[in-house]
Amino acid sequence: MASESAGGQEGIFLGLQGLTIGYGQREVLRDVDLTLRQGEILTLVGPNGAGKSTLIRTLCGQLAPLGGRIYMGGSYMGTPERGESGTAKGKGDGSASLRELTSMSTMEIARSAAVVFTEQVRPEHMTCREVVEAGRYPYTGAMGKLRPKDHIAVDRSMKRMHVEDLAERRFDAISDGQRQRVLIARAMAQDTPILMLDEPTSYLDIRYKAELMDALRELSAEGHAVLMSLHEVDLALEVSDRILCVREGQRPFCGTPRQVLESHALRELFGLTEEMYDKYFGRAAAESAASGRMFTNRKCPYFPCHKTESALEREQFNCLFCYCPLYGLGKSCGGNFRITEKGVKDCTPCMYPHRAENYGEIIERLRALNRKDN
Amino acid sequence: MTDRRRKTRIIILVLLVLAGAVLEVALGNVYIAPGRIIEVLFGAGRSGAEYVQERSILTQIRIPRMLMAAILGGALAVSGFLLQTFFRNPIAGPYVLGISSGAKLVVSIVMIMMVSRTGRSSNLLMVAAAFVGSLLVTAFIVVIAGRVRNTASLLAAGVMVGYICSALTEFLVTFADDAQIVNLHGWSQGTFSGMDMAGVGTAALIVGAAMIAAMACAKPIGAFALGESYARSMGVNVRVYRVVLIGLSSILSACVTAFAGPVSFVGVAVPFLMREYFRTGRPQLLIPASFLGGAAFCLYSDLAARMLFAPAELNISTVTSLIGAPIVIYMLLSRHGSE
Repeated sequence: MASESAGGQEGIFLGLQGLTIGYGQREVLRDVDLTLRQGEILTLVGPNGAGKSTLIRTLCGQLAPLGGRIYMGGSYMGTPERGESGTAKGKGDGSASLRELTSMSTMEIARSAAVVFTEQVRPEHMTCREVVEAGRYPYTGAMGKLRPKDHIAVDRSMKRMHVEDLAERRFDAISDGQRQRVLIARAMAQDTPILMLDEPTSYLDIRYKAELMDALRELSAEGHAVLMSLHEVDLALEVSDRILCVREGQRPFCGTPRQVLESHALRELFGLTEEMYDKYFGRAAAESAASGRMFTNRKCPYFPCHKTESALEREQFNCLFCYCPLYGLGKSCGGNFRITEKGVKDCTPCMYPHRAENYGEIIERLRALNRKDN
Repeated sequence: MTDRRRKTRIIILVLLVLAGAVLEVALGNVYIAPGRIIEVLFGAGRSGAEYVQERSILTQIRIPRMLMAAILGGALAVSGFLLQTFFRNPIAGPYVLGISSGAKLVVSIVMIMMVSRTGRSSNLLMVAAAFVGSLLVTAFIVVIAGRVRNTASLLAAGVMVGYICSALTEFLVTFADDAQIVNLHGWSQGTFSGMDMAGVGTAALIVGAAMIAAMACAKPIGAFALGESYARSMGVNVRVYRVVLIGLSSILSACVTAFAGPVSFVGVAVPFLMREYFRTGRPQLLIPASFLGGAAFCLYSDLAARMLFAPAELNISTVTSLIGAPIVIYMLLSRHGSE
């Protein structure tokens, strides 16, 4: 199983070069350059009709691009087994050579990327389990019979999406939210390097939205790359490594959540007035500046350091620590910090207190110190 | 429903088909008991005047008819199943796509124009005509299927083609004389009479080959249940399978129309009934099940058509519709009642 160490080999799973997408004569997005890396969560945000769905459809090969190139890479991420047929397994680190999307067959694409679309499907006489089992289609034999490892993948993804108790129920006899979770489980069962989700939070209530974000974080920690579109910008800011602000006819802006907030890109993106922007994002922007909560470094060997049960403990952990340069320098920062196997630590008081505003400065100072000593 | 229960139901279906086959052969103007059938065909009773008559009734009329009803009934049902899976629409059937109308058009052309000039016609000619008509419409539909993006448009195109062919047929009928109109009307209702073993052989070959191809495609066909986008994202080459699905379905229904004329309702009702009976959408089960169901349906319908008002023979479509429609309505109501 590919387990990535922080800052280790970071394969590129999806590459866009000068991509222009749209329908026929109508261009929706022009000249997009982007890479999606292993273990990365990239979220598309933007107003309705901006082109998020169009982009996802193009990237999974179902809509022909109007210009530019798409490259797809990444090898099969599932539990490796002896004598497994089909996909190039890569070197176990999830990386594989990039191939141009147009040169890939439908089956090859199916083994690289699993998709959740916005459209509603209503198959008759299918149980929820059968729907999730459909995700194993690229790997089963001619008659479609599932083998033990397929069942394992199905069980695992149903557990991740908390739909095990729906297994024997008819897919068309459950609620919209339950159906959505089953469809997401289906895509997860496909065990592909890339997971593309178009508005996956549709029909989900708060709890299931949160659970979905947790599941996606888990998957990204396991090395999958996630590309999704979200309407909930707050969720996007919280869970993404990078955000792509998509607006029809304009060049998309890509940045980390912090960059997106600091550049006020969201205001233009959604056409909000100053008032509306402050009301919805003012606090997040301020919080980001103050607490650095946006700086989650998932590649940190002690991640997820803040995934603790106690809310109090969570309060104490400042994810800025993950970026603390002293960590690599082997110097004492003067703070009391303790490390457990969960990676729990508390680095206050630190003699180099840093906040978002002075972070860059502190790093420079510490580097200078380091250079002086060495 | 457990797989075990499904297996039991398949056995029930097989028994139903076998019983229907025996009844079809035994009953008629001359009743030939099942035991006697075996005697006449294989056994000791192979002598005497009665034997000669019975043997010719069996081998030249009843057995070919029974086999045709079973084979063509099964073919129709599978044809309907493939279309319903493809369109994800229970109304889809080989007739919705205008195939029978195309067949009827070409047969009318042949009947009215050629017969009036040459004064001759033959079974073979009518069969060939129906086949050509079905395949022409099929080819047209296949071309449209390759170009049209969504299936709703395809369905609409099929219905329009059906209307065009019907209209053209009516147009031709205005130039026909009464005898020909009656002939055409009679054929257009569909019948399993007048079959011979050569025809049975041809039909069995075509239907058999199509069935094997359908089973080979059972896995991608099943993927269509989640819609074309998902099927494609799972690795199904949607373009190719659209053509394969439509093509197979059309070959099956063209074969039926060519030999028996249009037989309505079986293609729509039987797959629906089988889906409800087995409570699954899996093609690996439903393709053989539909074949068996269609065979049974047509065997019993043909029996009724022959026997109910003997010696007059009802048109098969009359019987299939009269039996089939109430059953489907009943199943619809009981299904929605239980939800």
